[in-house]
Amino acid sequence: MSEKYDVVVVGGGPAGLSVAYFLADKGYTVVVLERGLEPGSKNVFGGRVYSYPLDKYFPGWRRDAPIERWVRREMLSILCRENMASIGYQLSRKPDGHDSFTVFLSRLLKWMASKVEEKNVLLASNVRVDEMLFRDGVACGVRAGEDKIEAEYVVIAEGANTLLLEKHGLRGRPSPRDIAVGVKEVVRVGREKINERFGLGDEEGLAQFLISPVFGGGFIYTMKEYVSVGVVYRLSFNNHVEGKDVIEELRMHPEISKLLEGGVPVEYSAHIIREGGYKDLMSKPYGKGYVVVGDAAGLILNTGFTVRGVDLAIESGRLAAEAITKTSPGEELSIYMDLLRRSGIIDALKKFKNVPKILSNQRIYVEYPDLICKLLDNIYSVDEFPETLNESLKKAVKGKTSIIRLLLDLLMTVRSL
Amino acid sequence: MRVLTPIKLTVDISQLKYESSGEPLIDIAPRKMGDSDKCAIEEAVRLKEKHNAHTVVVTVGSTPDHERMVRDAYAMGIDEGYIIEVDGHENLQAVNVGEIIASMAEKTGPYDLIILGAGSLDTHSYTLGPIVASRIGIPIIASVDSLNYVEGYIEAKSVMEDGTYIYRSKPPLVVTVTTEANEPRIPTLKTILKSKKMEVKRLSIEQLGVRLEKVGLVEVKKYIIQRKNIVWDASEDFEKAVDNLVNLLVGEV
Repeated sequence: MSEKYDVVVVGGGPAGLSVAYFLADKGYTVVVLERGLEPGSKNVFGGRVYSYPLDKYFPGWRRDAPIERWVRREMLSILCRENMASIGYQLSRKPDGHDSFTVFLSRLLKWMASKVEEKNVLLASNVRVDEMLFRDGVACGVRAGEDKIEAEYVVIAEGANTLLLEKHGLRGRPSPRDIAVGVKEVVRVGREKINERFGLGDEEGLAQFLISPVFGGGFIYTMKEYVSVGVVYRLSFNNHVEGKDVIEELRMHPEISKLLEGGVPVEYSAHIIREGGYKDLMSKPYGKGYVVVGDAAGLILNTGFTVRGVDLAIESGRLAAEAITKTSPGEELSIYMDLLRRSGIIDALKKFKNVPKILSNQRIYVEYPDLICKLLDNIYSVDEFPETLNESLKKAVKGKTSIIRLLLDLLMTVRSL
Repeated sequence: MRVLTPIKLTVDISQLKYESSGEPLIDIAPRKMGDSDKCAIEEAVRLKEKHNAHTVVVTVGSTPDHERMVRDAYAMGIDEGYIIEVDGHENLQAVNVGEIIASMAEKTGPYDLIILGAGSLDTHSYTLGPIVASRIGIPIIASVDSLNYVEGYIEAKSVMEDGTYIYRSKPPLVVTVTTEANEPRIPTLKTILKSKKMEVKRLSIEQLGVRLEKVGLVEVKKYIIQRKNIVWDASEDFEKAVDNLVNLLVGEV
C-alpha cells in the first residue's frame, strides 16, 4: 500500500519549494522530499539573491524574509600575488525591484519552507529518494528505501548533482570540464568592523567578484555580522588542488586577510557548480508525468561577472507549477518548455552560451590577471625614469603572450559577454 | 504500560566554535537532540513493539527546533508528544527541568516507566534522571546498557568501572540509558510523513503549577590546556637535548 498525492517534489531547495508553493496555492496536494536535515541544508551559495522573483510572487517579503544586507557596492577585483586591482561600482538607489541582497540561503529557504507549510504542503526531511517510479512510461511516483509514494506528477528538483536523472538515463554524467567546485567560509567579523573595513552603512552590503591567477574565481559577500568568502575553481585546470588549500590561499592573501582579521570561521562548506551553461541545459526537461526544475535542469546563468541560480530556480519552479496545472495526468509536460522559452530564461542562457568557453580559457584567469598586475605595478612604481603606458605594457607582456593573441582573446571576450 | 521519555534540545557540541578569547559562540551553534535521548526513545519504542506500551515524549522549550525534535520522535514511533512552554529554556538548570518533568509526569501520568538519556550532550551532568526519580519518589536504575521487561519487572544491566551490575525493579521507576544501549532506528519516508500529521500538545509551566527555583549558570568557558612551552635547541648538542627531555619526563612521573 502506498500513499497518493497530486504532486511529489524531489528536493527542498529554492526550485522545489517554489513549485510546491505555487501548486499548493492552486489546491494541489503536494509533498516535498528533502535529503538534508531541513530545507536548504544541502544548499551552498555565495550569498546574493536577486529580488525580482520575490517581488513578483512573495508580496511583503521585504518585511519578513531574513535579509542580511542590500547590495550597494559591487566590485570586480584581480588578486595579484600581493596586491589587488579593483573596479568598484557604488549604488545609491533605493529598493526598486532591480536590486539584490545578501542572505544565508539556508535561512531564506527555511523562511520559504514556512510559507510553503502554511499552505499545507507536507515537507519531509531526511529522506533520500532512490528512484522514480514509472507506469507505462508515465512517471507515477518515487521510491525511498522500502517506501513508495504515488503521485500524478513528479517534479525533479534535486540540484546540481543529478544522481536521480542520471540513474534513469534522463541526463548524462557531466564531464569534469563542465563542473566547478565552490568552497566557502563564513567568518564572524562583527557588524562594526565590517562597516568600517568595507566602507558600508548598517544595511549596505558588498558583493565582490574575484579573479586570481592562483585559483581562478572567487567571491566576497558581506552579511550583517559575517563575511562570506569563497573560491570557485574548475576541475579541468589545476586538477591537483584541493578545496581546503585553495580557500586558505585566498584567506592568506594580504588584501583579504586584512578584511577578515580577528574573525572566527564559523562555517565551512563546498558544493559542485554546473558551469556548462547553455550546452548543459536539458533539451527536454520534461516527460510524461514529470518536469525538471532549477540547477538539475541546467538553469544556471553565468554572465562572466555574476552567477545566477536561485532566481532562475524560483522562476522555473513557478513555470513548472503552471505547466502542471495546464497538463492532464499522464500527458507530456511540454508546455513547461514553451513557458521557459516565453519567459526569456532560455534566451538569456543562449545569449551567454560562449561564456563557459571564455572562462575555461586559462589565459583569462592566469596569464592576463598576472599581466594586469604587472602593468599596474609598472605604472604605480615610481622611480626616476618614468615609462610610457606602451612601454609598461610591452614589459609586462614580454615572454608571456603575444600582443596579437591578447587582442584576439580580448575581442572574443567582449563579444561573448 | 505507559512510558514517558523526556528529551532535550542541546547545543551540537561537535559544531561549536569559539571566539579567539575562548568564549564559545553558543548563539550560532546548531541544536539537536542528544544522542542518548535518541537511545531512550528507541528503548521506549521497543517496549511499545514488544509489550504494547503507550509511549510519550516531553521536551522543555517551545522553539521550532523543539517541535521538529518531537516530530522526529514521532517518526521513530512515539505515540504522543508534549512541549512545555517556558521562557529562557536554555538557562534552566537540571533542578528546574527535573521539577517541570516530574510535574508533567504527575499531570499526564501515571507512567510505569520514565526513560531518559543518561547524560545530555552539552552539560553531561547525569543529574536529571536522579532528580526526577527523587522528586516523584520512585526508584532509579542509572546508566544502563540494556533494558528488558520480564514478568512484571524491569531488568537492566549497567556496566560500571568495577564490574557489570544487573538490577531488577518493579515499575514505576526511572531508567537512564547510555548510548551503548542500542542503535536508534532511522525513520522511513512513511513514518516521517505520518509524524508530520500528528498533533504536538502544549502545556505551560503555569498549567503545571511549577514555581522555578532561582538557580543560574555563572559562566561557560572553553577548557584551555596549560602548556609548559619548554624548548631546547637540539641543533648544537642533540644528545644533551634528549637527556634534558628524558630527565624532565622522569621528573613528571
